[in-house]
Amino acid sequence: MALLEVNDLTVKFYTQEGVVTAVDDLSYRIERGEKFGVVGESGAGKSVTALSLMRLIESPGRIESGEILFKGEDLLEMSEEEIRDVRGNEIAMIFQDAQTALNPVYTVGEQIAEAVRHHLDYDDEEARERTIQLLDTVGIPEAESRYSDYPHEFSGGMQQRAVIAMALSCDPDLLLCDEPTTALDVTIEAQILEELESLADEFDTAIQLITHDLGVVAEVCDRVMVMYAGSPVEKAPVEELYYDPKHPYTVGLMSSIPRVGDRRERLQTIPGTMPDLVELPPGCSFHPRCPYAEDVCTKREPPLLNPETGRDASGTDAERAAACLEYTGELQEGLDYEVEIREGHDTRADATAPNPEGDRR
Amino acid sequence: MSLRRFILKRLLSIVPILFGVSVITFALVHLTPGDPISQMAATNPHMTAADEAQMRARYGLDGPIWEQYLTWMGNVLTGDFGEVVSSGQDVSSVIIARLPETIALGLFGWLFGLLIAIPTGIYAAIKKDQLADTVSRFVALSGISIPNFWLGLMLILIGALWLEIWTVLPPSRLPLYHPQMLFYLILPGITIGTAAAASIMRVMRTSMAEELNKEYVTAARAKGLPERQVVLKHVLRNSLISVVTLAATLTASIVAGSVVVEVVFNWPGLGREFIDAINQREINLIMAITLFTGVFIVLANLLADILYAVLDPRIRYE
Amino acid sequence: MVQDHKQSSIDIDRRRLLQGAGGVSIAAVAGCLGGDDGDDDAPIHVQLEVNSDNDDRVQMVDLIATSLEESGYFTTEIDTYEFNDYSQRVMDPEYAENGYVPCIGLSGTFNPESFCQALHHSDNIGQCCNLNGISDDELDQMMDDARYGVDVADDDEERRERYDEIWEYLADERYSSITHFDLQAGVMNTNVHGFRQNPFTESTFSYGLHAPQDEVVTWIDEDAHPDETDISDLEEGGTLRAGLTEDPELFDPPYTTGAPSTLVQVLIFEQLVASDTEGNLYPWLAEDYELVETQDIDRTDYEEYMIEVDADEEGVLDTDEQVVVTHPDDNPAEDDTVRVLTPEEAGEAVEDGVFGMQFQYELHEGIEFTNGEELTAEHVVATARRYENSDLEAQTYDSLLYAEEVDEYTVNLYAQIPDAEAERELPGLYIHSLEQAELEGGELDPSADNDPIGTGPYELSDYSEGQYVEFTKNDGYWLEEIGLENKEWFDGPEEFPDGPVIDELEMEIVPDDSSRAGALQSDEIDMTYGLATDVLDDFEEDDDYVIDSVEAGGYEYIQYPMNVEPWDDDRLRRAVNHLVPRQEIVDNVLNGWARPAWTDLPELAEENGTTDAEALEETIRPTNEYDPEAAAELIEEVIEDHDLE
Repeated sequence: MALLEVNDLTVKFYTQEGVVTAVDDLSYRIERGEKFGVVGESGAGKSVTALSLMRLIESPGRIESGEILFKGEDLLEMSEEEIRDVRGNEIAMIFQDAQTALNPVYTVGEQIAEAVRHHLDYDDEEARERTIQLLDTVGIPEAESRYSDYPHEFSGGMQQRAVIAMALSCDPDLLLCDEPTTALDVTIEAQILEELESLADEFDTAIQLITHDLGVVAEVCDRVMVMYAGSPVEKAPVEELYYDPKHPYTVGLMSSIPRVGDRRERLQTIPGTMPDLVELPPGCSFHPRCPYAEDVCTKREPPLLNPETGRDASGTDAERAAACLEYTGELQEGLDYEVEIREGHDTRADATAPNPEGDRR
Repeated sequence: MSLRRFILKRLLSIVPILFGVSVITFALVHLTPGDPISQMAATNPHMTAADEAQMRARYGLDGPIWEQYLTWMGNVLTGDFGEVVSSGQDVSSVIIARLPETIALGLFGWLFGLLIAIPTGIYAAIKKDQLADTVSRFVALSGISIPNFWLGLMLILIGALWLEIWTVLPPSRLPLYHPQMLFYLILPGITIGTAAAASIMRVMRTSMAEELNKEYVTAARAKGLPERQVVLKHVLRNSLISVVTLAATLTASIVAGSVVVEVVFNWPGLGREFIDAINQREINLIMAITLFTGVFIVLANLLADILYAVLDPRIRYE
Repeated sequence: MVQDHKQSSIDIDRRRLLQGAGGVSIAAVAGCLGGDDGDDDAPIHVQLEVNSDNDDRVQMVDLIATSLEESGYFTTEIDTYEFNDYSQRVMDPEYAENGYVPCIGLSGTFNPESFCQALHHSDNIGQCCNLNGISDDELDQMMDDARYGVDVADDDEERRERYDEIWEYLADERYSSITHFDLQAGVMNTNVHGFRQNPFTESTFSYGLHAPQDEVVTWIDEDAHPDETDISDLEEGGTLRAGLTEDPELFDPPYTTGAPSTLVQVLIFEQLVASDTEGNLYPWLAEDYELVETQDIDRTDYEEYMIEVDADEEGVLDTDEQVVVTHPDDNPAEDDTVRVLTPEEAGEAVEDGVFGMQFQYELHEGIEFTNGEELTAEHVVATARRYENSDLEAQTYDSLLYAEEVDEYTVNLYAQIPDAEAERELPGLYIHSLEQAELEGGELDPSADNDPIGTGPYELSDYSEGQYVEFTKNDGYWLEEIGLENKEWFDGPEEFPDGPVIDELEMEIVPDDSSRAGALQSDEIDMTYGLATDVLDDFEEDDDYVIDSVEAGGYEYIQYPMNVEPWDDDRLRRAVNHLVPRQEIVDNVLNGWARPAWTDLPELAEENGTTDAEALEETIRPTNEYDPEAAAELIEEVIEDHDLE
């Protein structure tokens, strides 16, 4: 049994502008101890997915349908009390921006200790000791004296470590990391990721790593799901995704990975922006930005298929899946890109795609 | 240590403020025609201009305004606030007799305001845009719009004349610290506190709603904390910061409100005394009450500043 | 009073400036006729002025303005001012030059003079309350002659006749229009029996509780029917809970100028004489008194006794002594030195037999103050001295010359000149105990541990500033010891009590009218007074309450700017007077709780002010009736003569 199994999850936000389908019919699974990456630009529905797992979607958002099986139990069926027992305890979350995730008016120590007290029934002293130990574990020097520091007295990196300590405080089985390093500079990013990985290994914790950065995914994850406009467009084990991306969007994302030694000021990004989620374009929602888009792409919505077999792969068991009409055979011209593997100190792959500038910029 | 220095500095800054207040008040009172002597003369056909001049000299109300001010200032610095011309009482004894009444009323009104406003503000913020929120916002808007003398009269009408729970007049034989006085503070307290409650509630709601959207709230919820703890521990303290500012500024309007409320509820406070003092141009009394009010408001703001530091550790005073 | 020219002009400029800032015009040009004077249909523009804080008065002026507009001859404008601004404005001697018509209220007394002299005598220009500079030598003389001089001082009937002439003279000249006389109304619940309201607020309790001169006594009986007010139903004891309109604040009579303070003081302090509601005097602390001698002198006859004192620019005299008489030819504001008579020289003059009138009072023996002192002539003399340089010096030493101890129980009071009012004015002193006669002004104060000591029927038992004041019966009240049977003038029933019968008075201080009415309704007090007229109506309709009302001395008037054209024409003033809707004012503004001023003389001053009140009303009333036709006729004449268009 998988640790987490998400089936046909749909989350909608009822805004004044209209109904936003933030997550559309999403299915995936995470095994115990596995590191699962969720990749996509902002607005792709990654964070909403993570919050859904905690049942922290707030009005005007609503989980419309689907099920979230955690250790075989549907989180969506749980009472408010039951889900609170899961939150922070079995599933914990590391937020993107530690500075905003920490309450400025309470000490860092207290914010960690309160979860410990709550879930593990520790008394004040025990909770304090455990917190100091956790702070020490995540690499905060002089943990004991920093316990009673306020968030603003911590540097950005330390704040992030504190947030990690908070998430680890009750030995969760699943760690939801929402862009855990975006707010940090590169050296600290590397340190933190390393820390995270080793801690997860140490505690045998599964990780769902949400990021827009394929490089980070490559470093940490076992399997990856690429999301676009609320839907998965490609799922694959991490190597396969890198060496053999099957979806034009994945290709686009990969060409925006910064490389060591890259002197360009700005990264090459996929032209265009995410579509308005209230009114998705007809057919494939990526077609307005897709360099390979054809007439048929504007008409038919591509299903998730196994790119090798062309069979349905929308279930959670599918190891390899992509949502492109190429794999239904409906694309006339086909996809035309190549993946070039460079020798380097890591396994980063690099894909280049023709950049049809001008007409959509 | 730094907080102590800060308080000291702020207390010292009261001095120029009070000086300014005293100059302006003194000038304003003197720029408006009339003094206690002309009051006597206005209704007394026996009083000739010579009689008036004679009396004015006797009560030290003659001479140029700056000279009068300096005399007054000199006396105040030695702790002598002068006397009320029409009654011959010492101004300081009037203040000592009346100030506790007003403070009790103001404090009660203020507490009432906070006790009503903060919970409803929290509730409204949690139920934002739902019926309860709309209702409470409507009530708050009414609370701000209702003139407090009218509210006071209505409360007397209902509470004393219809329901006969209270009496129209407060039990004047009881000392202010008698427990039963608390009961009689309720109606004037409501009257004086309603407008304050309404504005505090609105600010509470807004700031709470704003705080509720912050990520640390989601983070707290993600820790599995009960919603009560999330709201009352994490959100409340943050939202209180803006309420503290408002509550401090409201001190001034509560002082102002007490003027009307004391008349309607026959409360023997300083506010009622102030109206009489103005009507009768009792300059010494006007000056003293203004100064005390000034001190009071400055102290309230100082308290607010100290509360900031308590509520928000990011704030440190240099 | 003429002032130093330079001084007063500076003063006036400052005032003008401030008046401009303080004044608010509420009803600029009522009606359909826009514009100022010069309108074809309405040749005369009238600016009426009134203090804004008196709603009834503002409404009344509004009614008058409307009535003037309706005549078609006037455009009107009403300016209102806060009371202090207003009183400064209208009591400025220069105000008369503006040509405005001010409205103001005054409180009159038993003295008929208070309904004509204060308004019209040239002495009162620039002070209370000759606002429009009326200076009519003939009228001045008539008014002086009605009060002063041997002719009237000894002869009441002569005095009445002279006043009748004044009322007729005023009806022709019509410098002012008195609109109505106020009513004083005491409102009580049915526990209170026998109470009668006195025309003067300050006597509400002292008179209402016990006034043998009018056989008035109040008692508390919760079980009796409210109609049972016969003396045989009387119950002794109990507590009267009353609502006061203001904090008494003061218990020091010579330093008291307000009725709220006097109201409670008179329960403690008494005078040599007492008055009924018509102004007739009865020996009170005095067993008897008589006018010994009247001499035909005026104030210049004191010249040889006078001393010279320096006067500064503002007219402040350089003396610590009470100025009893100032030489009529000297002016403190203009002259550097002024000849004055102080008590010492007044004593010398009296010794030499120079005085206007001599009254001699025989005191009852055995009258005890609450501190045990026995009342003697010394007390009267010491009291008179305590009034020197007090807040009441102006009204005391405008008639009193000297107080003289004759023997232990005999005292003489001397008047400065022959004065018909002296009999009432001279003994107007609240007799102090010797213990307190030496106190500085304002020191007679419970908060300074000087509880007031008097001879009166009640003692102050508790006072909390701004909250309440309580009295208990004086157990050794002298009148109860002496007995009414020893008062010659008393001819009431034998069972009439010798003193008030209520033991305790609990008076709550409730300035707010509606709170006081509410407290009465919720049975927190038994009686109150001074309520607004619409509230009085509510109580009158309710059987659970009793109202006793009486015509009082308060009145309102508007005054015409006779120094400004065309108001110098008496026909215009009389015409406007015909347009003052007196009945409508009383009915609509005061809800009937007042009486239209068909003559200038209210009931309480009729005793001294006319030979025949009915005949006077018959003569004067037609000139004061609302009569637009008569007004139109007069105005047409004025327009023609003055070439007004």
